[in-house]
Amino acid sequence: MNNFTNSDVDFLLDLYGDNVILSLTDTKGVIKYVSDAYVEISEYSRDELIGKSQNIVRHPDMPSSIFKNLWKTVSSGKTWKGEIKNLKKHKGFYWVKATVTPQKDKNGTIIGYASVRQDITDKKKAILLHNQMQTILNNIEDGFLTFDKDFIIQESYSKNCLNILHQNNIAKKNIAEILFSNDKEQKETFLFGCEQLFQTDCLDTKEIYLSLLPEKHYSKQNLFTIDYKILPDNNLLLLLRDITNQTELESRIKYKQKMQKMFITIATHKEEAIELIQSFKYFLQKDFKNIETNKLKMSLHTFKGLFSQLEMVNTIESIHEIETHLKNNTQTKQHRINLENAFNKDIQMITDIFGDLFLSPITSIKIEVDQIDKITSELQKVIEKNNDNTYELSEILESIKHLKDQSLFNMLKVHEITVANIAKAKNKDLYPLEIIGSKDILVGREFKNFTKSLVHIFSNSIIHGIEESEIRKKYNKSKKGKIICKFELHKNNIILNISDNGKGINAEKIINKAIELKLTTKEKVLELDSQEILQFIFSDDFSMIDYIDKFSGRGMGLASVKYELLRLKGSVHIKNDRFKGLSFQFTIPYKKEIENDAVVIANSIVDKTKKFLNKDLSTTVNNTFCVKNININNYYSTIQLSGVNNVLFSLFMDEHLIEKTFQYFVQDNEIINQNQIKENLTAEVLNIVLGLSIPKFPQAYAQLKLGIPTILDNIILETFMQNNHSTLIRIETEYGNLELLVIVLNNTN
Amino acid sequence: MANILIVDDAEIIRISISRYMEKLGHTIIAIATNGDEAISQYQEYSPDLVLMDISMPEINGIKDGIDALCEIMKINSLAKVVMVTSQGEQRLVMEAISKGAKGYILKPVSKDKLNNIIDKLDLK
Repeated sequence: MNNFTNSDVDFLLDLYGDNVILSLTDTKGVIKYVSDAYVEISEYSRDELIGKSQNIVRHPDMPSSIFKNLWKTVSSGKTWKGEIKNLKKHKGFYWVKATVTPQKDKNGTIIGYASVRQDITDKKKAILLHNQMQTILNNIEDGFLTFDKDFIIQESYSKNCLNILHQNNIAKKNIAEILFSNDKEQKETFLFGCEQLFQTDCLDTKEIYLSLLPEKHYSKQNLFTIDYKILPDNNLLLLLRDITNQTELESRIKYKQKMQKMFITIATHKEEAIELIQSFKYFLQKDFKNIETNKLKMSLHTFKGLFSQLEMVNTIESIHEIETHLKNNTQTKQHRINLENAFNKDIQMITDIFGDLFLSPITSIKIEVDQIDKITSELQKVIEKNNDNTYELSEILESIKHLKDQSLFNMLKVHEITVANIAKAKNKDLYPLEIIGSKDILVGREFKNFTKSLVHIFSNSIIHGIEESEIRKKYNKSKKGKIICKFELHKNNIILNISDNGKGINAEKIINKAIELKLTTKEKVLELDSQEILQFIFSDDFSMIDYIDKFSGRGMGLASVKYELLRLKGSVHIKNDRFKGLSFQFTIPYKKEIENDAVVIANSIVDKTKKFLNKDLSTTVNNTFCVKNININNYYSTIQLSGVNNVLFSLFMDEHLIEKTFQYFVQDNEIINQNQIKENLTAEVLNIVLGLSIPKFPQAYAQLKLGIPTILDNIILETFMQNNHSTLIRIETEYGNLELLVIVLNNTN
Repeated sequence: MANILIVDDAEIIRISISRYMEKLGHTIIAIATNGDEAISQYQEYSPDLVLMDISMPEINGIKDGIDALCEIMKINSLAKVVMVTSQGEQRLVMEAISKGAKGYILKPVSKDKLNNIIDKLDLK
């Protein structure tokens, strides 16, 4: 301490305070004095320090150049300032901000150095941590950012946020504006959710709001998931994770596998493929734009089933998309163009692999169906003109007509592959579909739509009928499920039976669903027999499951089977063996004049009329059948409908039923002139049922002109019936009978 | 064991919730098919829990799910109302939560989801 005066030390301590880390050394760096704070932080005792070199606290991390610079500076009489990491006695370290000042005597000669240090360990640690964090944040792919209750983004965010959000700088900007600039609805949800979250103090409630915030962010080509976390300072942390590649890769692998499957199936089912592709081309060009929505839905659904047989991936996806839009009423022209593109893409891929000629076979001559029709009508004329030799000509005519026929067996055979595919997709253990029947039974092209629609019966069987193997085992059933499709001729009818050995249908479920869909009521259902209940599954929009996938669940499937069946004048009987299996027995007239328009139209009206009787008049329908004669004593009304079809409708109601209708509409017995009102009522009912059925008429897209209800003479009606396609259907109810007459007027009339 | 009021316009949902809840050992004390019924049933039975469909059609001034929730909260500010919702109704659910609903269940309803809510609300 010789070279220092006490007053020097006092001065310094006075200047820096008692807690200052102060040391005084001689010119060689030997410690002469240390303050209490120095002793404390260094962990040495004062005796251990005094007389030792200042190097005793030097940390190996510090580069020697710093000390060289220090000595150079202070030995030249200047003050040195810098940050130094020092070593504690017991291996720890501390950071100081040091100011080293040379101490001079009266002559200005340096006699030692005073070193004042400020402990900056905490600050150093914080900076280090911050740097480490920032390095981490800047090197990860995910976007991290935090924002406060005013939606302002905080300064520290991961660099990648800028790329994800396509911004140059996001600090201090509004997070909602940046994330959801293009989606007003999402933005509103986000803002509202966050506001509520910031407002409440309840942690559980905060979590509920968090779970409701938007989970996805689309940015140009990419898709991000958004995760949220509440930070201790009440700000929100937001994590953006790019899942585009992940989803893309997954879908690309799946896509490739599907492609391969498509090529294999098409190579092995060439004929069906060609036929389906042709009919879909026609459908796209003609029907798609024109048919009414319900029919469009059915057709698309059937086509989807058929394309999934052939694994035509793009087309299936595209149809699936349109179906969803149709359901939500958001379909546009663009969707049809998309479908065409997707379809053409599939076709392109097929021809790329198999060559251009694959889809247009040259091994056989192709005769257009129209051409055959032309030949037959020419022949018909010849037969009518020449009364001689007509027998032979008729024979020829018949055989030409049958050029269009195909083997029913082959028509059904296409389903083998569908069944296998669906079973696989649904993880059901199933024997291959067994088709039993003569290959000699030929049917006309009009059967095609029906056999196509059967895909819905099969998929229903597999998805809802056949149980998982473990369950089958539990109920002592054979491990594998089985579906048999059997057909034979019986008295001019084709009897087609499709049966499975699954669990059958739960009638209770059908009842609940039917009530929900207002097809019947709780009370009326008690009076239905089991067959009538089972038949509900053929109603529009009837579906037993809640989810929708590519194979089923839109509720249109079985309705389209019924629709095609009616066109063939067929009927179906369902046999339900709970836990043992389900079978559908279709009876279809064989080789007869095919369905005329009147029957098709009448079917749709009969359907709606029954619904009206059930729902509005609360009447039970007992029986429905075709009759030949009109009941003259009835109240009735006639209406003419013109458009593509020129149709005449008449509705006849008997006294008892009109009484019931009167109560429903008028509900006031005081009215004096009841008879006149009753006559008008038939017109009212006719209006209602027609109004309900018009959207379902074949080709109802053309403008329809509804005439004014009138009353025509029975004799006039009967003349019409004789000269035109017509059908008269009687509906018997508990309150009396109702008859519906549909006459499709020949265009010449 | 809790006494529960189910509010939903679809019978199938009412039936499935009832069955699950009964399996879980709870009692369905009342059922309502619209908001107005829900309010009067709540007043009459004071259930421990209300499961309320969030989007019931609002016809002729009959109250929808959110309105009914507000009315019930007025009757009893501690009422436990849980909304039954579908995907895409997040905004509506947020509104319901802000008006006092204690949580929500996303359709399709399952036994696990119902059990979860019961647990959370401490109704065992």
